[in-house]
Amino acid sequence: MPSDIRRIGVDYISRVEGEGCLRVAVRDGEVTEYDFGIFEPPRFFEAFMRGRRFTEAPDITARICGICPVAYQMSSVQAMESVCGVTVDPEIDDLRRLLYCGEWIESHVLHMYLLHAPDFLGYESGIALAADFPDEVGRGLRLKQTGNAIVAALGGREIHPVSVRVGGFHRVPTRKELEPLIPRLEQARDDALATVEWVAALPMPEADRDDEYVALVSDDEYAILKGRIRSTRGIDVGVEQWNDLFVEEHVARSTALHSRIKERGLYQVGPMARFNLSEELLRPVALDAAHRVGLAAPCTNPFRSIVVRAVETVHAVDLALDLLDRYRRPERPAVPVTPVAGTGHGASEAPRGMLYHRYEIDAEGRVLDAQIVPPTAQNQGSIEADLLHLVERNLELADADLQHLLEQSIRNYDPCISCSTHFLRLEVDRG
Amino acid sequence: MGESTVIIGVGNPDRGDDGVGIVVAAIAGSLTGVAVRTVNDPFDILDAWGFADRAVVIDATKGTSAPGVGTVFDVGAQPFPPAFPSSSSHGLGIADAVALGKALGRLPKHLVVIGVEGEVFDGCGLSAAVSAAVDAAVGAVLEVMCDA
Repeated sequence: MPSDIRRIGVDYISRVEGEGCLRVAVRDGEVTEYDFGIFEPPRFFEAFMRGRRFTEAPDITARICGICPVAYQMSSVQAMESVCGVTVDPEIDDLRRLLYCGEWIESHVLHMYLLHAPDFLGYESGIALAADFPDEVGRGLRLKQTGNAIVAALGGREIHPVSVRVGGFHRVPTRKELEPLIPRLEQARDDALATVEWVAALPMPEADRDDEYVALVSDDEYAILKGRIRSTRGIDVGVEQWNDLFVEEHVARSTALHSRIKERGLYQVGPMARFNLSEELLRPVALDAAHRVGLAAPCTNPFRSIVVRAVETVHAVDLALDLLDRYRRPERPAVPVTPVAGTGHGASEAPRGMLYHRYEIDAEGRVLDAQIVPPTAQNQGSIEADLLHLVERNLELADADLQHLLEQSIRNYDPCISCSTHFLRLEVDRG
Repeated sequence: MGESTVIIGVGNPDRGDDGVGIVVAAIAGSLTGVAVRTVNDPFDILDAWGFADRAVVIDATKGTSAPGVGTVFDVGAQPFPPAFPSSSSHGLGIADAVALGKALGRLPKHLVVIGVEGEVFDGCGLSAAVSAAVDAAVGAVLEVMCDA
């Protein structure tokens, strides 16, 4: 290989769900090729949904991801309820928020402590980190288990909860069943606040990059369950208009569809997008924690996403406590839902960002068409843009150091590549 | 036997043979009266053994031997293989949980891991080969209990 050419290949990116690969070619100090490829087999979930009952959507789509099944359940049930013209009781929406808080805590804490923090401190894994930071990692485990406990209490089990249905829940817990969560969450709030301080003190590479941030926004709360689609450059539409503004494209090197804004290209979803669009709607204890460590919108350095996740964990814990304080068992676990032919849209904020679902169903309740747009697919463009940005500014680094920086950059997005594998048209030429 | 001993079944009963750990733990628990915990996120294993002095963990393995063949590791007596082929599809595997427990000083004094090689990892229920191995695996758990 000529001396003026450097090739950096990362075939397996550890500590992300699923598998991706990254290739960069540099010639004469200029980046001439780069791509972030995904080589997990396509999973065909949209095709699985065709012909299934509309009531099966939450249980089938939850299987797309073992880390964020609640997100898939929430987006799918809201899409089905919208097509059937059903509004669930406010108490049911609150229980859905509580379940979602559990998932945010589980997912954010797993990522911060075991997947992302090791990058900042130079450890190869969360386990290696635990040997030197046992108190901190022990705190992370305790926090995550509290998230698990919420999901198990409402969903029946920690992974792939089984209680969610179109129209509400199969069963709602009694207040007495949920009360043991309260002292655990009080401890969790202290742990989450300590987490903000810890991650904010990590050595943070500088990588600010101008991006368009897109998230669900609600006028009266930091949106988790529902909201309008807004962006930092003026988008403000209902979720039913997702396909009017955004487009999914197949990219030859990847089995994941890549999303972009039709008029202007890449955008970013996730914790930084939510924070940049709804900072002032955080719970006061979370907002104070953010400001104490110098975090304020706009946050444009993707490496600081770990701090935003910590702040969102405080928010989720505090919101969960508030919902539990006010909890009275709903009179009915679900409202009846009769299928209506048409198209429904649903979106919610998965831990990794906005998750959009669209379903067309017939009058018998059979699914005719499905579209599922996970956050990692929406972030592909931003991930690649970050990589190019970093490579161009760090060419002086040795290959191993540059590789580490790029892997760390990919993990800024907590990419759930299993979720982002999507749809592939298969054509077989049999001669 | 009190709470200082715990039997932990790891797995997902909706993934075929992945549920063997849960089945074996339930039977061994009912025979011995020892506390049983069920875990389907290996991340929770540390919480499941808590501060117990002795824990027996049963999980399905994948890719080591013929279906139904059991493997017993006494974690205190021999190094736990870092690549213990847990069948978990998410998060940590058993090897990670053991390493994490060690790093945090949260391993039971006596920890035994019993793996049962699975054959089919989808659908409900155990395959014939693994069903036939359940008695032997329960026997291995009881043997650990008797070794106290």
